[in-house]
Amino acid sequence: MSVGIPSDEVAEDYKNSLEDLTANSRYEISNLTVIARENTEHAMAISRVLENHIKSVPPDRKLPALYVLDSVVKNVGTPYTLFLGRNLFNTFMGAYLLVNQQTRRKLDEMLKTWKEPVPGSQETRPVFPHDTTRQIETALLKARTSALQQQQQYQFKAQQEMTARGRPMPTPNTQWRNTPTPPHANGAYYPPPPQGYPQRSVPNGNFQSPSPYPPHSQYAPPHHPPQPFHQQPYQQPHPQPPGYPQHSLPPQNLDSLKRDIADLIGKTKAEFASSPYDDTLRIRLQALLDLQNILNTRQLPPHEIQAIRDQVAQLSGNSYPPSVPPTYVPPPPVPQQQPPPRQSPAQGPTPQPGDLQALLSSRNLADIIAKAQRSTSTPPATQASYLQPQQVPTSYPPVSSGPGTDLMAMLRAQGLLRPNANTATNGPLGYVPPPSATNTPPVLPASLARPALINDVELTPASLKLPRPHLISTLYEARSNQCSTCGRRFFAIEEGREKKARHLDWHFRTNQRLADSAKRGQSRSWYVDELEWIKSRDNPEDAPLTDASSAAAKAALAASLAAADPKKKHIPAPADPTLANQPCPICQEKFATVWNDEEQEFVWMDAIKLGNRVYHASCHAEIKKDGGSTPLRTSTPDSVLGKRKSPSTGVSLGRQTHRGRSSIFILRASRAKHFLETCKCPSSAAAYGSYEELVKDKNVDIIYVTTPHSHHYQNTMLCLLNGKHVLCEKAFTVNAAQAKKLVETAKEKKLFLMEAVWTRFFLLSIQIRKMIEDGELGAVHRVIPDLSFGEDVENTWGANGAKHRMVNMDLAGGALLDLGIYPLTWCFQTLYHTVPASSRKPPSIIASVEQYTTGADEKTSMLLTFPSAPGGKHAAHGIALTNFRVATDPDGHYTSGPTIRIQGTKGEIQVSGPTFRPTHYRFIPAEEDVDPQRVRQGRILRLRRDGRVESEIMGWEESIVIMETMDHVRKQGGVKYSEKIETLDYPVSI
Amino acid sequence: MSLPGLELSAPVETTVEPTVQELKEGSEWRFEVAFGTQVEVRLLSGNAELFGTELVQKQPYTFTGTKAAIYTWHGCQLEVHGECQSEYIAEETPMISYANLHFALEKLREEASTIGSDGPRVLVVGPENAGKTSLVKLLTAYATRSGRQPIAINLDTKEGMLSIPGTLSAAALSSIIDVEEGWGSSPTNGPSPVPVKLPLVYYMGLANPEDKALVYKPIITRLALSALNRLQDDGESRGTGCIIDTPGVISQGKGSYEIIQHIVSEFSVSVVVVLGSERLYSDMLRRFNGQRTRAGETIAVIKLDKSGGCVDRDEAYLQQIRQAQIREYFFGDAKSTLSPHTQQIDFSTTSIYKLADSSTDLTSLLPGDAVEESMAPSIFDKVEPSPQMQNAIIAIVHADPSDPQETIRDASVTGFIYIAEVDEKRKKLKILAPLSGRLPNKAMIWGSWPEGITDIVG
Repeated sequence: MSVGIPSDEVAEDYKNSLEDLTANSRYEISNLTVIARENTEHAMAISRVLENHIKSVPPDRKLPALYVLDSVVKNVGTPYTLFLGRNLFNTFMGAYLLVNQQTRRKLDEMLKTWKEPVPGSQETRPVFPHDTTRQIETALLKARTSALQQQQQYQFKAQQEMTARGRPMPTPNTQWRNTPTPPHANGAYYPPPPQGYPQRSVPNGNFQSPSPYPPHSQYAPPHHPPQPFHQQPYQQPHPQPPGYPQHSLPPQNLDSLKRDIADLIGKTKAEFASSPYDDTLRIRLQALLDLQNILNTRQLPPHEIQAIRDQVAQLSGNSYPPSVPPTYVPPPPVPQQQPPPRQSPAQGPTPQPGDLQALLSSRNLADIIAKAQRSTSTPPATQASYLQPQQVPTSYPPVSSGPGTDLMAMLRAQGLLRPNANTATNGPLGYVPPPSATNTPPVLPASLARPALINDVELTPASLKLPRPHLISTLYEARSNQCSTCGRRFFAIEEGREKKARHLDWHFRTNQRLADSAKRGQSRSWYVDELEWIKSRDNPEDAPLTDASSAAAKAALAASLAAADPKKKHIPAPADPTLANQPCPICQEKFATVWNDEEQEFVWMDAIKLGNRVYHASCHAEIKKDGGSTPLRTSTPDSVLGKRKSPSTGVSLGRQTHRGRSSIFILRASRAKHFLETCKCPSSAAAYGSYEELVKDKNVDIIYVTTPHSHHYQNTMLCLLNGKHVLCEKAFTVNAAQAKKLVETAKEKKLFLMEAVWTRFFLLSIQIRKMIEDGELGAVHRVIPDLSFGEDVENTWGANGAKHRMVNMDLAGGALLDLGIYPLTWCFQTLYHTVPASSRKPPSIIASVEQYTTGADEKTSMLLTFPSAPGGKHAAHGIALTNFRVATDPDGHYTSGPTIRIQGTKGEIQVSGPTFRPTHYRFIPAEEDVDPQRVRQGRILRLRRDGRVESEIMGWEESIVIMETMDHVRKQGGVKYSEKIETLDYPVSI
Repeated sequence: MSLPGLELSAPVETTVEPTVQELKEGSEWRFEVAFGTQVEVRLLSGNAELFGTELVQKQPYTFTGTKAAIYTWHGCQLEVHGECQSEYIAEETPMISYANLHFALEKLREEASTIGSDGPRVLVVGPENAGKTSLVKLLTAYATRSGRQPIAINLDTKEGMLSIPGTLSAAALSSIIDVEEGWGSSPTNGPSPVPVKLPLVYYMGLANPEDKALVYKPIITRLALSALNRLQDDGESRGTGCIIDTPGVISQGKGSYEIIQHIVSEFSVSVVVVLGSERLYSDMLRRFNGQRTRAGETIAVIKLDKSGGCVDRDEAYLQQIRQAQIREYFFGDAKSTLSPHTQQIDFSTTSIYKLADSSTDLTSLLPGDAVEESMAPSIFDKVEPSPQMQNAIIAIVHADPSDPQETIRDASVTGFIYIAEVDEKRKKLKILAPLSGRLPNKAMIWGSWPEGITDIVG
């Protein structure tokens, strides 16, 4: 919709919206999806923004952002799948490696759904091509495998470590931050993260920013045996120049150790300050503080201190020469090193503060996976070899799972820390493939679901004669879930229940439609041809609705049912005869007395009693809204809307500017709010971020659709399906078929629907119609209305490829639909509406149409012949004129004469002023003795608020006839709009 | 499973107290309802089915112009309002073997599904009034109830399936079959309380297919082609296969079962079910037993007993059935009333082909014994509308008016119109079309069957 908006503006807008997204808010996500849908022409820009956003947000916001991506690709599809698919690997993996376990589980689920078609859609292709998803899966699998390998290399590494210890530490952070690719990346499939990205995710604890790239040294033990150890994540917060010398010798006393710890704490604090949302950082900090506390309060044996010192040194990114006395290392009991892997998937996502185990155990994906696999997949033999290092006094304790673990283990072994009973339930430790919530329960094929009854029937006379009650039961008892309407049986298992639910929905829908079809007339369809039959699928009534809007439609259906029987205000019908005969003081109409079953008495619906007077509840509400000024407002369209519950329930969809409509339709909630503030709207007014949001609001009763014609059908349908009454701008739709469909839907749902043709509701129009009906013009033979704008079309709206809505085919532009509707309205309200409904006949049409370069019509002159005109049994001509090149009113002062002439045998009415909002008329009688200035007190018809859904002044049938007329005119003029705006399909994203 | 003859006497309006029928397990209640009277049946307790389709407890089912039987496997109680022309409870039925046939077919279907081949193509043959259609309906209903989607095929031109008589049709059935109205309804532009079935229809225009094998056989070939294509194309149907109903006349042994042979070969039939005729069974055994289908399956020929409920239906009843079917095509049934559309069309807009009379074989008019290759017997004569056409049913087919006659013959039907009036002076036809709007500009076939009906537009 956003015509002519540059992509970057949209992108910027979208970016801002994304930044507001901090949690998994369904509302925001669907809002962002709608914006994406409405701006598919900017899909590339939006996709880029979304990708960057996912990359740049802190881990705890990645999931919502990915949900937006997920929602967009599933609900909008192409071109987003294309644009987002390109970088999906990076986007997904980048996020995956940084988020916590719970989120990973969510991501796994999401990935799984991408491999399948969107549920409920007819599309059979998966959300993303298999190539794309497979790449991600392969990478995840590789990561897991290499973790396993890493673990198998365990002992080897432990030994290698000794030799590696003396070397100056490479500083992985600086290394890979300054080079485009991680130097050790052995898989070319991990491009570097964008600049600035690492600092967001603090590399402590579980969320390691440098480690998202598994092939980076830690994943390549065979090639770089020593490397993994030097790139322990705990070193990363302290990027140091290579060969950083200070700490190459271990400090000799406790104080230096304490100082180191204090340093470490300081650094961690600083990091924590910059990334307050990083849970693991907080936990780590807590752990260090605990450690500090222990050191300060207890006397520790020297070897323990040395052990701590070693660990701390590792943590702070330093290594010590292997000068440690071999005897001091108390090999930690293996079982204690192993607890993390045995995790239940239900464990909490974030470790408890102060839980050192959590801090120290999980470092990155591969480690996590390694641990999980160690516990589950390591055969006893490996276990044995794994124990070996402990028997070698000179070897270092096995530390592949991180120095922290060993620290922990050692501390615990030394009795420094109480054994942590919770170890086994720590969150982020073990990688457990998440149980997918979207996993469908194993679907039993019908053949399997049948009980294992032996079907031994052979096609032989003897075999066919044997009674087999057990087989008969497959037709009855085995399918115990029976539909009470038609007798169809379903299995009692989940699949059967789902089928039955859909089956019952089908009955429900059919009954709904049946109730209505009696009036409409139904006829047999033509049979299909061979090819169509072969390709057709018997769509069983219990199949899932293929329509993507099914859920919405169902909800809407339910809503409309509720709306069809609203809890109206009512009072017992007064027994007092005078009161009983008094009309509503506001609309002067009498009250309808109906029997109320619940109350078991006669009641007046829609009535309230105030003092001694009884009012229509809705009249009263409306009066109150107007501040009690004029009970009867005259000629504005909204005075006929009726059916209001509260003042703030009328909502306009789209925005109307002075002439034409605003072309920016990104309706962000924030903008809408801003708009409300600017207009100083009452606080009861609500702002919505999307149409979907609006139609879901239960407080909204009626919606005024003022979007471009092209969108009327889709927008109005959306409102109707959601149980909202609708006032829709003219031109009602793009074609008559759409109009019929809308009317059908409104009828079905018992909702008010009207084409908003304000011209018909002016007192002037009402009086003119009355004069015609009263025969004051005699037989009306001709009506000549004109509405033309003398525009410099090329310069005002653009020449070739112009996008201005007046000439934009995609917005159903053109003189006919935009301006021609007014002259047509005049023809119809004078020559058609004034005839009794039973004798109204649609006109025959001759039209001459000139097209503009865009294909929209720029000059359209229509000659309508109404077979039975008012005031006699004769045909009358309506000459409806519209033109972009010349003006009805060239000087802007309406000096050019009447804009509408209504000519009858007894006189002529000349209407002046704009055709759409005429200012005055005069009656020129054929005989001089008729007083031309007779003023009639026109009675403004008001729609009763008793549930009437159709206006008398602008009836459905007439809206449809006018649309049919326009269809004919366009056909004669060869003006055809694109299928997507002429379609009856819903929903269609335009 | 149809039923004793009927008296066409006007129904006597009597208020009959509802009667309750107690059915023991394995018995059936056979009943006949005359045209013009209505009988309402309710299942009070137990399970019951009508030609394989289960009845729901407490739900009223209304029958008119019906001869049918309600069977119960487990015993049931039926409440009957209204007067049946004849009714009785029968305890001896061939239902066990019928059901076993279904389970035998299920076994074949399961095998077919596992190896991914086509399910069994079942042909039901037998003399007139042996209960072929009822058996086909039963097998179809059971297959549907077993979660399958069989393709039911009707080759009997005397009775229509989801269409009017004189047609051959096929439909995939995955939803419940209408209990009250034959097979159900073909699609309309409105809702239907019982899911509609989408048929593929061909028009034969003759009561006895053997009269004009020149037309019948090619249509069967064509229908078989479509049906087998659908089987290949539609995963749901493929493993289920199809069930073929035939006219009794082809089982009479004339022409040495030429047409049965044709059907078996065209549909690649794998199971031949012979209903109620020992002689036919032995003929079929001799002909097909042990033969192989194109796909290499062995053709099985089995024999089933005719149900004691089957009674000859007299011509008057059959005619009423036909008329009811035609009326239903245009006007719908009790459940959903349809509004056909009357309109006038110019002679010039029609292109009507009349099935050529066999006697006007052009070759016989050639001098001497000369037979020219090009003078193959014509299928149709193109005719101008004439007063004889009044009250006739004309089929509009999916073929261009200018197409060759073979194409027109083989084309499937778009729909039917009824000629209400022929105005030769003004060269106009008053017709009844199922729906409003211009008639499709297609070829039209005027057959001699079903016979016209006079009181359709009233």
